[in-house]
Amino acid sequence: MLRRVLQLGLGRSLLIRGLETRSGNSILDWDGKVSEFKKKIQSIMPGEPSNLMCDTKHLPPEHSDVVIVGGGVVGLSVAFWLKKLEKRQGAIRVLVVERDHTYSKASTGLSVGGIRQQFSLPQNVQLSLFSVDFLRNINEYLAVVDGPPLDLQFNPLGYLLLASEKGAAVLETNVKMQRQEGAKISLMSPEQLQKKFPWINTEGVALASYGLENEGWFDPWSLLQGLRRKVQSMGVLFCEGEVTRFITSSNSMRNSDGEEVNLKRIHEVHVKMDNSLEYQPVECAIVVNAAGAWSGQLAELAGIGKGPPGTLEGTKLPVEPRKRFVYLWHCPQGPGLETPLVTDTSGVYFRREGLSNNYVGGRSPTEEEEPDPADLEVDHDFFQNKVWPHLAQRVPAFEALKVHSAWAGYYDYNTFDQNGVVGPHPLVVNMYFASGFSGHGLQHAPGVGRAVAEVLLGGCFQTIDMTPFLFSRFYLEEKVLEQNII
Amino acid sequence: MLPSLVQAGFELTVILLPQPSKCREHRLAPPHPARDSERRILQEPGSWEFLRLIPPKWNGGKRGFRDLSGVVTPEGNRRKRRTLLQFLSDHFCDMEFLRENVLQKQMQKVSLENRSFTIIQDKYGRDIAGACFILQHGGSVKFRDREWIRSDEYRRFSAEVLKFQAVPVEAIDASGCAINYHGLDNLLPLKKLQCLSLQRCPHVDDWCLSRLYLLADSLQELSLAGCPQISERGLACLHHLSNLRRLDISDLPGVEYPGLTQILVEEMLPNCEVVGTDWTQEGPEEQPQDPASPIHAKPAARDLGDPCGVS
Repeated sequence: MLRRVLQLGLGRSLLIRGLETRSGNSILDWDGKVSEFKKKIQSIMPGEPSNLMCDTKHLPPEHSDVVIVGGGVVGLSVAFWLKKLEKRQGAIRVLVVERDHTYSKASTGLSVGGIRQQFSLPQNVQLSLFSVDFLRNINEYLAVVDGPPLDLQFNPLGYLLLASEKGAAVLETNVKMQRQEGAKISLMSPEQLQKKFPWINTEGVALASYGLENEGWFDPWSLLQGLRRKVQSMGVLFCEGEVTRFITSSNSMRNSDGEEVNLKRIHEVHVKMDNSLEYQPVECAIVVNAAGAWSGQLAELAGIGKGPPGTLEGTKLPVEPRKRFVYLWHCPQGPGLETPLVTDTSGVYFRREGLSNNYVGGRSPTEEEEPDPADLEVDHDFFQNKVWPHLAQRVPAFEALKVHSAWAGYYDYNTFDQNGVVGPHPLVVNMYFASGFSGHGLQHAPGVGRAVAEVLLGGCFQTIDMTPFLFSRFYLEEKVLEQNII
Repeated sequence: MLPSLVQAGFELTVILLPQPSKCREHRLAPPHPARDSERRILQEPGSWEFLRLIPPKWNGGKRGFRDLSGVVTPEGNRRKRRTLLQFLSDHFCDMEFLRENVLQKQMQKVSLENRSFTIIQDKYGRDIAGACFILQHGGSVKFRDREWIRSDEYRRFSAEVLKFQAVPVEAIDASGCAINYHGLDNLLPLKKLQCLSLQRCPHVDDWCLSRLYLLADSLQELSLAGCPQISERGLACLHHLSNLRRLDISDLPGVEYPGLTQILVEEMLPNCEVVGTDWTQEGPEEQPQDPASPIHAKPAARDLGDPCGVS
């Protein structure tokens, strides 16, 4: 009885409202209203994000255990290994903050994609060996249920490093060390080189080292996508935003010599959304700096380097972006299918791309010729004047070539010793570095990711000893030089 | 996190709670129809098709340098062809865990089969160990001046193999065997091996080919016909095999342009006879086929390639 009265009452008022709608359309809008109502009810149900007041889907969570700044291959590798090495499933909450989800300027997508073991530092050789193992078994590491298997398009043709009279002794010692670590490198005299690769002009070459196995090049984009997919399936959260501020707190302590040391701790990371002033403070325990070419700027935000020069507080992170050009050209009579990635004595390098005699290559400029890293514009004169003459001198067939396209990318260049920075900062105790690889970040990414995860979870490096790569070497002025930078 | 199927089962009314937004990476382009046959090759015998435990082969190789099409895929692409198990694993973490486990077990199975025979190696030498390994996988072995030795359908072989201690292995036929990168450890020390057949091996890929340079001194005949995971990049590293006289690269589904690849391989190995698809019949692009013409019954380039060659 009461119910019927209520129904009548409601019904009449609805009818009256319907006839009196301002817009003029009456009950024809009923379907729209019903679907809106259904959406609202659905958002109240448990499990659905609550969008009643405002939409927060794009914002990062308010708390996260680890915040990885930089979603390139190194950042994603750290996220992957953190989730893989955690003691209990779901123990660590990881957030990856990447400000450009199209990766238009990220070094990963713009890289030439080579992987080699021919380094002068044993740790670099070990990192490469592990990374190649990772790439070979990538479908075991990055397998996702219902996902198609990854095809990295790995080309196992190896690297060929040419050395003049000056560099021959260094090359030989390096190769000896690489062989001790387990890499399969062979040394070739100019005669053997001429026999094997008849298209090379061996003038000026005293010795060559050739990688027989586990060296080559692959598609970095598919590695990035594979890592992204796997890492998302493991429960890592992604956020598209930029880190603008760190909220830190300081603690003053005395060390064994009686000096006062100011230890800092990052408590919050302010992540600003794209094209707006909106930001979200993320409370975190650990911040990983995997920002690549921009890690120097990020370190300054955390206060690293703000102090009197010559002290530990005043030591900056010496990583800055350096622009490098890569050119794609076509040469109809060029070297054949068996061409490795050749690195000349002059610093010029090239490799084949595809089946139709296209080649990709470039050269690292000298310190005086360094281009301005403000944008990614390509300097074509650089090819004409600095790359082509050396190419034509080494491979006579390259005298007739035609450049089809070119692009530029950044090296996260470590101005101190051109080797990566891995591990915690001595003063800002919860910031970990994984950058500064100066052109070999992609090939070391799996190894570096595992090293950072080990030091984060276990306190020390377990598989590969990366203690020479710690930040403290910048203050102690101990250079860990890598000679084979391409 | 995801609710548990066990917990839900105890409730009288099962409410399937919707999956919290986990931002699953969407499936990439649907598998190429011509690749379905290799999916059949890759499938283990006895696995259930409807369970979709073996994911389809990805033809992601045709992209350019900075192709961003894989980054964002519309929702609609993902909703097609959901099976019951996929639906359940989306909603219950138990099912997801179970499926991941099954996937891991399948991958481990292959690597378990490829362990090295260290005891036989220490006792009888590497040649015998390599021979036992191949016979264990169902292949056949030929010692110098002896007949071919095969194992029966239960993978058993007679112990007379252990008697050939000083005799080198001359030829190995490993067609269809489940040898992978680690399994090759058993074959590579055979320094007098002249003839190797890896036809239709499902796990032999470019990485395995990059190891074959160790057999360069003796290897004269190599057959890679029908291996689904080999591409032209792996074929390029055969340039180390300077003594090779006969190379069979026909019917490789992973090679996109068989004709062009064969020409390039022939240039790379001038002393070797390369047997592949008959490239004189193909052009560089698909020419419009005249439907009335009875001669070109099959379009030339992109398919699996006629194994006997169009005569």
